[in-house]
Amino acid sequence: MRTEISASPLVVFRTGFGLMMLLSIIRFWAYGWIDKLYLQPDFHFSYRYFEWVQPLGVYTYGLFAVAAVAACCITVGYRYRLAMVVFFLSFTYIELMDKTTYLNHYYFISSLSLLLCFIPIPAGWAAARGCKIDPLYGNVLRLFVAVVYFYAGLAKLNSDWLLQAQPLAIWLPAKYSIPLLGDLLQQRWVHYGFAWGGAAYDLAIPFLLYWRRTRTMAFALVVVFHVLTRVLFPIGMFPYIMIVSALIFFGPEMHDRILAVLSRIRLPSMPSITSISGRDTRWRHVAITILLLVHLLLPLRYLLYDQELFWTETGYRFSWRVMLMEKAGLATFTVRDAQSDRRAVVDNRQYLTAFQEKQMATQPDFVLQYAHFLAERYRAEGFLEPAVYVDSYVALNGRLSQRYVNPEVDLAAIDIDEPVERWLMPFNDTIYGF
Amino acid sequence: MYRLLYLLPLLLLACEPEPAEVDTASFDRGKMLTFWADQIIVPAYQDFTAAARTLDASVNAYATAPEPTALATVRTDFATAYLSWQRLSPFMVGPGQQLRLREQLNVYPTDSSRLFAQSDADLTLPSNTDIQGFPALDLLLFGTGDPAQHVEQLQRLTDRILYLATEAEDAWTTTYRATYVANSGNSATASVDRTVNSFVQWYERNLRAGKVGIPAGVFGNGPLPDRAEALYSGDLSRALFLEGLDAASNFFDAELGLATYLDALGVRRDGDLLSTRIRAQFREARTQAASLDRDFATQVTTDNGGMLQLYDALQRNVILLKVDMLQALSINVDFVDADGD
Repeated sequence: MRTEISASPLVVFRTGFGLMMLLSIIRFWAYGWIDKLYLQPDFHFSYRYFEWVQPLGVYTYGLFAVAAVAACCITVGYRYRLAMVVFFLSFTYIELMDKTTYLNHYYFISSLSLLLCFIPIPAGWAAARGCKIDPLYGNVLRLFVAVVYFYAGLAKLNSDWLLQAQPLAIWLPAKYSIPLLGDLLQQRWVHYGFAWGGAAYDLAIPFLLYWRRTRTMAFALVVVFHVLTRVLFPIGMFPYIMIVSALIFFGPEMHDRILAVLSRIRLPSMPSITSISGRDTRWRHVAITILLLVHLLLPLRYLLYDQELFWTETGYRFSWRVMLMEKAGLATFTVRDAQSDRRAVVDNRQYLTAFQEKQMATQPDFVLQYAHFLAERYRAEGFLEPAVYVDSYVALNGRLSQRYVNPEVDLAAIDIDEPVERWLMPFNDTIYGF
Repeated sequence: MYRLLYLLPLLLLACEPEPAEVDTASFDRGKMLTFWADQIIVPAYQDFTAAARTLDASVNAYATAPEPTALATVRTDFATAYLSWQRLSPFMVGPGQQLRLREQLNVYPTDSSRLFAQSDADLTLPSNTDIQGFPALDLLLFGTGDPAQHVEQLQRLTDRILYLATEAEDAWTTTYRATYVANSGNSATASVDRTVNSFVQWYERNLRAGKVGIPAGVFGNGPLPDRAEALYSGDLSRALFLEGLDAASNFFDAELGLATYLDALGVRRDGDLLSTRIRAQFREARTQAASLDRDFATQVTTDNGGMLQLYDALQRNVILLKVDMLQALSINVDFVDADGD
């Protein structure tokens, strides 16, 4: 048995996580995005094997409410483990409803909340003071956060990012109206500075946070870096979530102090316990090991495919590739009936929102799923044997647009699991690196 | 030693600046918006309102004395106003969009049976967009045996056009111009993003599809001559198209236009300036259109191949404008969290 240490870092982490989740849900709701993203569209892009996960109509609001209540419970530590399981399930269900909205940080939240289901954290604030726990659990969370940064850093070591400063060279000049920074962001050397600085930051920050002597400085960097990304890019709550997550690297002394402050907030009395790590440790350790292995290995699955990752996006999601691509596209679908000479050109906006259309046009799995949907739609409208063709162009990181999907291929006849290189045009360039 | 790490961010900022290709810092989007408002959009409104007023007056004169010469004047003024509309149509942001000018002025083909059966229809209703505006005037002036039989309806329709034009121009000059110029940021609701999005959408839907693709049958089976613009006047459809194409290329090439903006950002694709590539496509479309019949309805019936070639020339610029240019200018489509995943 290891020497137990104060559980306060975990309690503060739990509090911060719950609070951030609650704020995220309130923000999402207040912007009207539940309606806009999940209720208005007629069609949703599903994840493979999760096609059964669909929005629940008006009950989708209830789903968000459940996640919000669970986030409240997590914040105060009331029925923590149950609340965590409910939060994980409801949040993950929400994310699986439509992959149009996929963001790395949503995946971060889903996988972190699953991990947290297996990490014991004492209830409340005052009641949690003085509680001891196996230091393993804190280290698991530190490793989890460190891997996210480090992998995000590795992914930046590619020729577009380092040698062309792309896509930052496209995004930053558009931020001309930001006070003070606006003019600087037009400079080429600033784009390179951000690119190299960003890669160095992601690769180094886990170590700087871990090493006690650089920790305070590293945390200051975390705050500066994430506030800057918040100002420059539309990434919502992610910067705040990462800032709060980075607190886990601090030792129990600081967290004890935070907990002392939190303890002044009165909660209904909860049972005080002195040690929490004694129970059910074996199955917890097994689950945690499996989750960490997935966390380490899943992002590397792109190595199994030899096409250009940025072009095919096979293995691109769930691998901490953040802000690496500016992809713009245009996809015009034609449905032909093989049994008659009927032919129709599809107005995408009849079925998709502007956001869905934008995401669809540059991602092969979206194109294929949408083509299958169109085939069904036209079959219902009397096409006996609908064949779906697409005239599509994509521009990647400031390259001239080139044809994306092979226009000769009937997408309705392509199986959803068919390798993309059989129906996608080859990429006319090479991107070196991870 | 570790204290030196505090200097890391400073080091990054102190990197030796490369000589910039073009001084993009000096490119002032606020100035560009002022130029768009004062030199392009508001003048287009003024010209159009004047043309609509002239048309309204000549229709009134024709109503008082339905002579053949008066009718000839009405027809000329109709053509002038319709052409003038083409130069305004690409810029439906703000009041133009709120007043639904494009829908109320130029939805075609017009529904001829409803136009005659419901001559007193409420023109403000969205369901009645296809029995008013220029397409309805086109039918009444050129597609009926005697336009004099429809003078009251002609008056109602031209009054409506004049009313809408005046309202939109007033709104632009009195209040909206200031808002438009001040909203110089970068978001889906900022003026640059709105204007460019609306311009590209107009190019794709109204110019490429509406005037050329649909009559050429690109979206269905075979040519549809009755979908041509200005169907009844017969010799106006190519002129209307060319006017729209000129509006597009003039806006692109204006002193502070999109080409200047792209060049200021140093946007090159495969060695060439993107602006040069786009300009060349506008030229190609114009050359292609020059060889076509003045009446697109005739063109698609006699030789649809030429019309399809024009469509292809226009389509190549849809790709350059909508994919390459929107990417290079980082134009936002929608407000949602997204991080380029």
